[in-house]
Amino acid sequence: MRSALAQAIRGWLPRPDAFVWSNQVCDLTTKTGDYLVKLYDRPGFYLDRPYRNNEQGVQYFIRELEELIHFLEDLTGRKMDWGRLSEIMENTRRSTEVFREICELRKTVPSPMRNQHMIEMILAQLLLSGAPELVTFYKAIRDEVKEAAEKGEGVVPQERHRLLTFFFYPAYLWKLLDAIQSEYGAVVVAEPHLSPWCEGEVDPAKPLESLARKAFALYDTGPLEPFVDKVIREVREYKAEGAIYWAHIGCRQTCATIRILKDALLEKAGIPTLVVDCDLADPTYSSGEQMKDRLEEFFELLDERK
Amino acid sequence: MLVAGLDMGSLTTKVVILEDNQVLSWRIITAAEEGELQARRAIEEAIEDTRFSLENLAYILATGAGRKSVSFAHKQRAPVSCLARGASRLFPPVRTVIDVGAETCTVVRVNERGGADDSVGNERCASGTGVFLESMAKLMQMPLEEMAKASLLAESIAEISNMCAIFAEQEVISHVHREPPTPKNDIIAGIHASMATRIGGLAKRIGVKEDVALSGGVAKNIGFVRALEDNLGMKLTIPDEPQLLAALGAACIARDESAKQS
Repeated sequence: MRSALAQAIRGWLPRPDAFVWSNQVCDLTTKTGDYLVKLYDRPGFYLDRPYRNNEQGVQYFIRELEELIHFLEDLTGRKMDWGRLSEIMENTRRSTEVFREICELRKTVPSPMRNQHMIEMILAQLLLSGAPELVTFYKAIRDEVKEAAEKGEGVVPQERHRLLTFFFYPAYLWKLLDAIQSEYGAVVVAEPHLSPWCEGEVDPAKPLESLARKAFALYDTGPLEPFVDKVIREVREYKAEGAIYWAHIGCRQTCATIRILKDALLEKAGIPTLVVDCDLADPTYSSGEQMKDRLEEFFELLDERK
Repeated sequence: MLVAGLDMGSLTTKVVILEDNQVLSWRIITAAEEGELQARRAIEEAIEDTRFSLENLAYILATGAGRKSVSFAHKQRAPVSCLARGASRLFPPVRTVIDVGAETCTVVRVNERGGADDSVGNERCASGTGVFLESMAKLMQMPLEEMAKASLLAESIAEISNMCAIFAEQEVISHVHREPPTPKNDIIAGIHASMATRIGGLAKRIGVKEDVALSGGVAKNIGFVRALEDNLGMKLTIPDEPQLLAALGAACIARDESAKQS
C-alpha cells in the first residue's frame, strides 16, 4: 500500500470514479484508503472485515458486502447481477474443490508436485478468481500431480527434505525453488499462508455468505492462535521436517508473528524454522548467494537431525 | 585415528587436530594467503608439534566462511553445526552459542545431542562484529586489548544509539569533540554496550536458553563480555581459546565421519 500511496502522491495513479478498499489483507490499507479519498476528492467505500472468525463476524461481513453493493449500484446506476455472481461463485466452488485435491496429493511421500507450481497456482488465483479458466488450469496441475502420485514418482529422484514455507517467495528468486529442489532434494509440501484459500464452503446459492466465509479463510488478519494450530496440524499431515519463513522487511504484520510460529514449530511439532530476511521485490536487500548459503546451512541442520 | 577440523574465517584460519578424542595440537594463523594455501599452512604448522605427518590425517573437515576453498578437505560443513558440536564437547550443559567473529555474528541453539536446532546470523551489517570493534579502536587511538580494559573503568556508559557501524562512528566522534568531552572510558563502555544490544537482540530472535557460551575472537574482549552479560542478564561461559570452538567442533565431526567410513 505504501507503493500505491507514493504513486498517488506523485500523481501517477489515474483519477478513479471511486475507491473501494478493505482491511482484508493488510491493516495498513485502512488508512491508505482514507487518504486516497481525500487526496482525489472522490467517493469511497471501506469494506470492514471483522477481527474474529465467528458467526457474528460472518453476519457482519455479509452486511458490509450488501452495503458495498448498494454503494456500487448508486455509483454506477446499474443493478447488481445476482445470477452472474452465483455463476462466479460456482466457478470458485469448482476451483476450490480441485485446489483441495491438489493439497491432498501433496501429502504423498515422495512429493509429486514441483516447488514452483504453488506460485503459478496463486498467481492464477489472483488473476482468474471466479473464472472457468482457473478451474481448467488447476485441473491440468492436478492431473499431472495425480499421475505422478499414482506411479509413486517423486518430483525429485531422491527426496531429502520436506518443507513448509511461510509467506510469499521473493519475486526475483523463484528459480531458487527449482534449485533447492534439484540440488538439495528439498520439496515444498505446504504453504500455510497461501493454502487457506482452499478452506471454507462455497455455495453458489448463497453467494454473499460464501464470499464472507471465504474471506475468513485468510489468516493474515485476525487472531494468530487458529493459524498456529493449523500450522502444527499441517506439519503432521504433510510430514514436514523443516520450515522456511520468507521474512519480507516491508510486511511488519506477518514478520511480527515469526517468533511465535518458530517457537510453536520447534516446541509443539519438533521442527526447526529458517528465517530468511528479504524483500518481496528488491534484490539488493538480500542477495541470492547469501540466501543460498543460509539454505545450505539449514539443509545441513536438517540432515543432522535425521 | 588422527583427524583435523579447519575453520576458515575471514581474518584467521584455525585448526584443531584430534587423536581419537584428545586434542593433540591447534593453531590460529592470520590470513595472509589465498584460502587453500592458508589452510595447508595452518595444518602443517599444527602437525609439526606432533609426532605425526600430514599423511597420517585420516579425515579433514572444513568449516567457516571460506570452507569451500579448501579442496583437500574430505567434507565441508556450515559453522552452525560445528559451533554446536564444539560447545557440546567442551560444555555439555550449553544450549546457546553466541559466536562473534571478525565479520560475522552467529547465534546457535544447541540441543542435548550436540546438534544445532536453530540459528541466526548478522546478514547486512558489521556493527555486531570484530571489524566494528577494530574500527572503533582506531578511532579511539587505542589498542583493542587496552580498550577492553578501559571499558571496565568507566563511571557511566555513553549513549551510542546507532546500530550502523558508520553512524555509530559519527556518534563516537561527537562524544570526543563535545564540550566537555565525554570521558574516553565511558565512550568505550558505550561502544561495547551498543554492540551488546545489537548481538543480544539477534540472540533474542531465536531465544536465549541457558547455559550460554560466547566464542570467537571478540570473546577475548573483557569489556564486551561484561556488556553482553549485562544485556542478557546472565553469566557467559567462555572457552579458554574461544576462537577455536568451530574448528574443535569440525574436528569432532571429522572423527565421526571417519569412523563411519572405516
